[in-house]
Amino acid sequence: MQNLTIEKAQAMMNNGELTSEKLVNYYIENIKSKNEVNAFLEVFDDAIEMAKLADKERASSNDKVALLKQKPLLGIPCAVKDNIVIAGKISSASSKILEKYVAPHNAAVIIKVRDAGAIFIGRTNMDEFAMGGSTENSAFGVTKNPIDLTRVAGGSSGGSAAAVAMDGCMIALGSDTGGSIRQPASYCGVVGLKPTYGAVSRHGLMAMGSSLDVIGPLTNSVRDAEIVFDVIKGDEKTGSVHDSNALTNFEYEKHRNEKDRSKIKIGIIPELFNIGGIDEEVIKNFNNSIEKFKNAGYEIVDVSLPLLKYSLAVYYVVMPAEVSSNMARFDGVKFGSKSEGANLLEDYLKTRGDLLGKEVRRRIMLGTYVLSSGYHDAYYNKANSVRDLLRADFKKAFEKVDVILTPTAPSPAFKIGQNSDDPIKMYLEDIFTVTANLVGIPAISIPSGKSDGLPLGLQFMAPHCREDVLFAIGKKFEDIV
Amino acid sequence: MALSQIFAIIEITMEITPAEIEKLASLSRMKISDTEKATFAKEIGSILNYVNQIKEVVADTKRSTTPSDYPHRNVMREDVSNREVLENPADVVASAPASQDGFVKVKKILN
Repeated sequence: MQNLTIEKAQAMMNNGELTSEKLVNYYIENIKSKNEVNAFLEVFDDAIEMAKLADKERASSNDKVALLKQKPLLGIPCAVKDNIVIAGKISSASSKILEKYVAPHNAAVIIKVRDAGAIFIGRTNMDEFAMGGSTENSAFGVTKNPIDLTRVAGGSSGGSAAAVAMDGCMIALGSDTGGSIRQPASYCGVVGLKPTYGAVSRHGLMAMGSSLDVIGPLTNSVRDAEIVFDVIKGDEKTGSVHDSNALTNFEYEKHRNEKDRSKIKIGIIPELFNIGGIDEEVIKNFNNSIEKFKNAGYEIVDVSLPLLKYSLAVYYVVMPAEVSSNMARFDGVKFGSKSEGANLLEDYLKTRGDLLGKEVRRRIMLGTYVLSSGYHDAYYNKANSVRDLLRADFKKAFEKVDVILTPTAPSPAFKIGQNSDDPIKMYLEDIFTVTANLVGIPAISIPSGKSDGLPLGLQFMAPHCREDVLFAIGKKFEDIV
Repeated sequence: MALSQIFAIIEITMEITPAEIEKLASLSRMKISDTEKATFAKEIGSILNYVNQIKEVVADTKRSTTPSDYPHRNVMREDVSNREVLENPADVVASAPASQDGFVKVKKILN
């Protein structure tokens, strides 16, 4: 059952070799025996019951092909990042302020994944409110890397990445604001997809940076990421904000078949390696991957993205600005817990001071600073203007190439505690990933080998709505790597 | 070059004082301790110093006000009630820290 993929599991369940109940039990045993990893905040006690129902549904169907077409995730155990709400379950976002918060509704993606037949096995650990790159900012303890327990699993979807890597579930949902799906996927050696901005409904995802946030899958294979993406895309019932360069979900399929995917042209960014601070092993591994693509007959083209080096700086203005606004809702009145004060103002001050972690408060204050009168133009407006130019740069680059490749992260998983005393060092781990969020394009991290036993990832970026290109070239990469 | 070396090179020139941190904390409605004020001042100063590099880019900060130029657009759902997606009022009230008789309970604002 190790590292099972969806289609293989479905075939095994169809011919009676496997049941969903057995699968759930296998994953729950793994979660228990690898408790030290701390990937899960809770394992749902109704998972086995739900699996039995799925098994019954399959057994009573006389057209299993049709059943799986309607429910491609039937019986598949899925872990959910703790900032995506499930009705009747706690959703804490790994924060003390929501430790006891029971969600009154389902996120739009939860409904889609549930309707596709998946079994929710548990909720996964994360950096508090998705703010961080190591899961060290969780109020409920760090998630350790299952490959090396002295190292971080990455973040902020560290629990989801570790859960897939250690066989605690087959698929997991995460959220990505600046790399929070792709970077932990890279650190844990799994596949992580950040879809086009707006392609997946954010309804029921706790907002962090609303112009950047997107939900996506973490999986054992590119094909699995594709299957889950096809289930979760679209926002018919909730409405949303889309990237203006993106199409609505109704036009998606039409757009997808437009281009011949066998002649994918790969772009690389030479100036990327002048940024500095990139691990030698990461550069070596990246060059190896490029070599493999060349040998497989792909055309590699240099693209120039001179503003790329400003991405992280732009991100650390735009994101905290949006954070400071989104986090205002946690005031001890509407959600979760509160710290009592003598009056309403003191309630606010104590609740937010006591129950929000250090990184969250740092970003709220940073956001308040860049939005405050006198600095608004120099920081927030300027960052948005550079963001516009960056978008234009990418649009131009994608006239020349179909995908752009970078390493996913500048290093393999680092030691727990190594970057805790320096926020900027921590932020630099996002240097290759934030750009896709600023520009709104889809990107995927795929395992590209190991350095000293630690997984590395290769990031593929494609134009808006071209997840199909990522899947096509990603599958090819899995074959040649 | 290791990341730590890069950041040894970057000088901390941006000065944020603990008093400014206190002001930001008050605007953000958060109580912070004196020891935290000092660390936040240092850390936020170093982050601002890093993001200051965007000032090197020549870019017009007056953005277009024509909707078609906006980088984002709204996509609306059908205007019909959807109880599965939208909340049950009783559950929403129950998820607040304090409630009474089906209302969210708040301390009085006016004396």
